[in-house]
Amino acid sequence: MAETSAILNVTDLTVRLGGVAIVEEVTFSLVAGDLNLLIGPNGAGKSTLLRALVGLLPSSGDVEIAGRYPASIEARNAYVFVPDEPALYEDLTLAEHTRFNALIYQRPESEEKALAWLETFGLTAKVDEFPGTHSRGMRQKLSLALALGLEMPLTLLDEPFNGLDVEAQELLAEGLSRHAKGGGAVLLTGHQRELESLLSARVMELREGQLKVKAPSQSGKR
Amino acid sequence: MSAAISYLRRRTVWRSLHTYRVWVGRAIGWWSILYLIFWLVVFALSGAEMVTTLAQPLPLSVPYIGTLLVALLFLGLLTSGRAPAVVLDRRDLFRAALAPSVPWDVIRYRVNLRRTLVAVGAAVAGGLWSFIAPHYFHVQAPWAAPAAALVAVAYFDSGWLRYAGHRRTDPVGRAARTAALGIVSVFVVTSVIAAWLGYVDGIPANVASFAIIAPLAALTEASPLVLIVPALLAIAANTAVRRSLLERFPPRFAAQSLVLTQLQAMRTFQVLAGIAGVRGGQEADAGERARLLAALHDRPGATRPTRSLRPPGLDQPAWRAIAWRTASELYRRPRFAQARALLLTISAATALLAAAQVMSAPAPTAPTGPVLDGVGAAAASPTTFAGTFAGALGVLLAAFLTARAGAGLVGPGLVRSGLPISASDRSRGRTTPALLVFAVATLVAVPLLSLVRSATGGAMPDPSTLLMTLMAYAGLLLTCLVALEKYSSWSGAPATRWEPQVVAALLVALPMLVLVAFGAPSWVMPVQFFLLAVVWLIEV
Repeated sequence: MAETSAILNVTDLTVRLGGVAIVEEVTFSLVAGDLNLLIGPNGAGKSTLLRALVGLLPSSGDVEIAGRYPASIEARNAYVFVPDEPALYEDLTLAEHTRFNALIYQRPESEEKALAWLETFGLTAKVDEFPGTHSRGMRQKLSLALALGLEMPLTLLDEPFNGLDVEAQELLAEGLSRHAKGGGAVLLTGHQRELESLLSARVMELREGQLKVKAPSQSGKR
Repeated sequence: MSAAISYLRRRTVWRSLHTYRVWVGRAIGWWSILYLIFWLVVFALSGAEMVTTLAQPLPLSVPYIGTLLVALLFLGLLTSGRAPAVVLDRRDLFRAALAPSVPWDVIRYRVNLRRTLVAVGAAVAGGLWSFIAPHYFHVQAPWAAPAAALVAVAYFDSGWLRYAGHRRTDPVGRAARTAALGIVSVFVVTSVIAAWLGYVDGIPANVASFAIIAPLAALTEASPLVLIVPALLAIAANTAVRRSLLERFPPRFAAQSLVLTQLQAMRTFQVLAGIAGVRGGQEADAGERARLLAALHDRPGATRPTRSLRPPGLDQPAWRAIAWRTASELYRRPRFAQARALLLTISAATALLAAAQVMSAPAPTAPTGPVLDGVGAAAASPTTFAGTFAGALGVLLAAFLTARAGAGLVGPGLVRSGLPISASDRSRGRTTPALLVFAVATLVAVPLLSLVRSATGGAMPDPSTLLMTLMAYAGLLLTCLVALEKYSSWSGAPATRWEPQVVAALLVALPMLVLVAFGAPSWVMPVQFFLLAVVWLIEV
């Protein structure tokens, strides 16, 4: 039974690709303040699940974001999705990315917040540069700063810790916890066991397309 | 357009154009391009000056038939709609399409770019028609260019509408489908009526003037009124496209965009690699492309094979493993692809068998009639081509067909010297499955060729002739497959490319071409087998 106050409701979600079920009849929900870590071995279907949630992959079952179909404008106004590989415009500078992001999400305040995140990640000196010249980790930081600056009710992050240095990983973990405490819901994927200790999150494990929910980790920094 | 998209395009498009301008300037040089354009204009003007007005005009049924063919294209749209004509790249998809933006705003730039391209292409064709119509058909058609551009845009937009309404039951999907159906119907009906009015004699002039309602009436009419219907179609299609993208993208659009942009990137990479002269990788890329497409359409077998061959035991020699790999690739193909490969193999086997017959038959010792007649010998025996240059060319053609069929059967290439196996093991492994398929094809080809012979009045061969033919056939086939495999492995060019196929065919036909030229056709068979042995023994 889906909770009415849930920001994300997933019921019997199944994703089939090339004749094979990658994710099978997955049901779960997220409410405000939830910080969820989706773990699983390589190929378990974590990224597939996240992409199906936002309509990037064809699926069956029901997905509702803020009570609406994910492709609707109202739903898109309630979530932000960060893919595993940063998707950035090679001919926009970092600062221009923050402006564009604020404009397209119609959240003017997010520009300053994203710039603040870039400062936190140590990229202030690079804001007038094109991301094409930057390393994978720096591009990941920009991608994350843009999403975190929006402070959306639902934040979906696919392997956000990949490519980050240790310091940035800790900063990101703190930021996500802070965001969840502030009433945002976060769902992120990862396959490192260390993440369970880094984040005080409810852990969901995806294995062979099936979802299992574990108890929240008590050893986190929150 | 929203402020965000406007902000994005203002910066990225102009910066991309600037980068492109700089790149073209450095890679090719703008003066070189101007030089080429200058000569193209000179050639075009020279060509235009050569066009003369015909004394007797060509029939006007030509443009009417052309209009009906375009109407058929529009009708064809009703069977399409599975894949979008325009996709978003990964950046636009993640950064703009998932944001709370109006889909039309996000995709407008790409749609308009494609519209412009098709409109310009059609306008050039229409302009050409405007130029030649007075000379060849004795009609003025000054509006053909804008009319053709408008029709092309309506066609492009109708294609999108078919896609947007594909298997959708919501109001937006239904509206898109209805709009596409309406535009196609109007185009087809008005085109058919206009063609009928223009083609049938004896129709009163005031009725025939209604031919102007055809969307392509501009091909035969000089009135500007001919633009009304194409303009209405283009506006209607444009409006319907915008309406289909006010709330959300079509359901599978995002997923298809992700896959199709990957394919586009792969194609671009292959083109650039080809320009740079980088070889290899095409076979793997072709496999990846097929896999992505199959996954896109949720086709069984794309992720997990639906059928497998039992692998050889661990104590088996290495060539068996390669043969198993090659055979598995053939076995796992879709049935349609397998049937196509088998048909091609049967055709090749039949042609090669005929060539073997020519090769193994005794050459005529003396002409049986006057040489200039050229008929006497031909009528006397079906083996007339034996020992002739024409026969050698026949062998060359049959060998090329065999190489083409064989290229689809030897499987993917192996990295040269990347594996601890001998070249002969590799060749044996790759050619064995192909030989088995050819053996099956030969069982069909032998009676097929006999049927052809009896149908053309030829006698059935006696057993000894048949045996000789089969021996010659085996020699040709083995030489062709082994040469194809070895050359493609040695050069790194996939067997599916023309180059290894041409080399294999030339090598197969070489003994007959050379020995016939030197007047020793009876030596062809022994030399053919000697050549096979040499090719086999070369360790590449």
